[in-house]
Amino acid sequence: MGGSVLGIAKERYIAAAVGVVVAFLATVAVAFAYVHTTNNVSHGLGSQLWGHTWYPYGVTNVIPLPSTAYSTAEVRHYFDDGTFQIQCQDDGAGYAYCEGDWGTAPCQKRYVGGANGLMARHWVRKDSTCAGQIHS
Amino acid sequence: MASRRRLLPLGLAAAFAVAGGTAWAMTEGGDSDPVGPAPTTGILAQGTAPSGESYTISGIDPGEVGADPTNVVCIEIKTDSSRTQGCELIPDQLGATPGQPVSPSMSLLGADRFLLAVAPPGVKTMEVGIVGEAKTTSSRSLDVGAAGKLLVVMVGGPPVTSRDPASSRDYNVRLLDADGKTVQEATKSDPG
Repeated sequence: MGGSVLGIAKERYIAAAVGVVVAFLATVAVAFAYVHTTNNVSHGLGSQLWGHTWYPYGVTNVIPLPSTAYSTAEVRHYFDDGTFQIQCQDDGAGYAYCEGDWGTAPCQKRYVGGANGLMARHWVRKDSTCAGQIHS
Repeated sequence: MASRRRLLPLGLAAAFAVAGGTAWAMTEGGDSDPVGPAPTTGILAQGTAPSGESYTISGIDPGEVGADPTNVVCIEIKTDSSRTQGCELIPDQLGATPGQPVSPSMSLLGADRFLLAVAPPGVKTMEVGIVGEAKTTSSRSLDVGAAGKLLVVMVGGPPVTSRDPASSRDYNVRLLDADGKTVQEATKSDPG
């Protein structure tokens, strides 16, 4: 009887531990999808915290900086019909950062990308209101 | 009641795991990546952009974004609604063959376009014209220390939207010497 109770307790603790690990890894994986490195180009998106207001941004950085590699970062507002407005865009040597606001469109989609063959068009989105994959 | 008691520890554990995972990812996961704007070092210029919004151009230490300060000049442009940061190549540090064109960079902030280039040797001004229109806009020159002069041209226009293809335009960029002679030409385009 005592062994049976102990066994059930152990199973519950194991289940709880597995749940903790799965939830932790899933959360970290999603967060990693926003800023990471592909083909030596660090890129992603985020929301800058100023007081209580979050601002969307896109950022790209080529590390180390090749002398002729241009980067771009862009924030777009997408509407339900698939049309979009570009709120900000920046291109520059190696590093590009673009920060806007949330606007009125339902979907925030941010484009980050490198040039000169380092990385082609690359999209990251954050909000579940945007159609398609979170990272493509 | 008994099942609730069994689920409670699991729910609490999952909640702590999600919170912990998020906190870890935000503070540690992107440690080596640029996550957010680089700090500025000082104001280079302020004024009113063509759209009527105020703007501020500030310097950035290239080291803050992992760049070599002997190769690039990094700046921030901030308006009422947006902010961009980027770096410009210093032409005489390219090590390129003579005559290689300078590639101006471009920042779109709302309805305002900023075209920028570090002046190559012999270049005094930059002129930007919208393709198909006769009017051109001349640059203002900002002192960027050892790198020389940063040439900046602001051009207004409509916000770029896919609903109006005409909102995305092309620009002729010309670098001029002291006599007004064109030294280099380039074309830039709105995104979209």
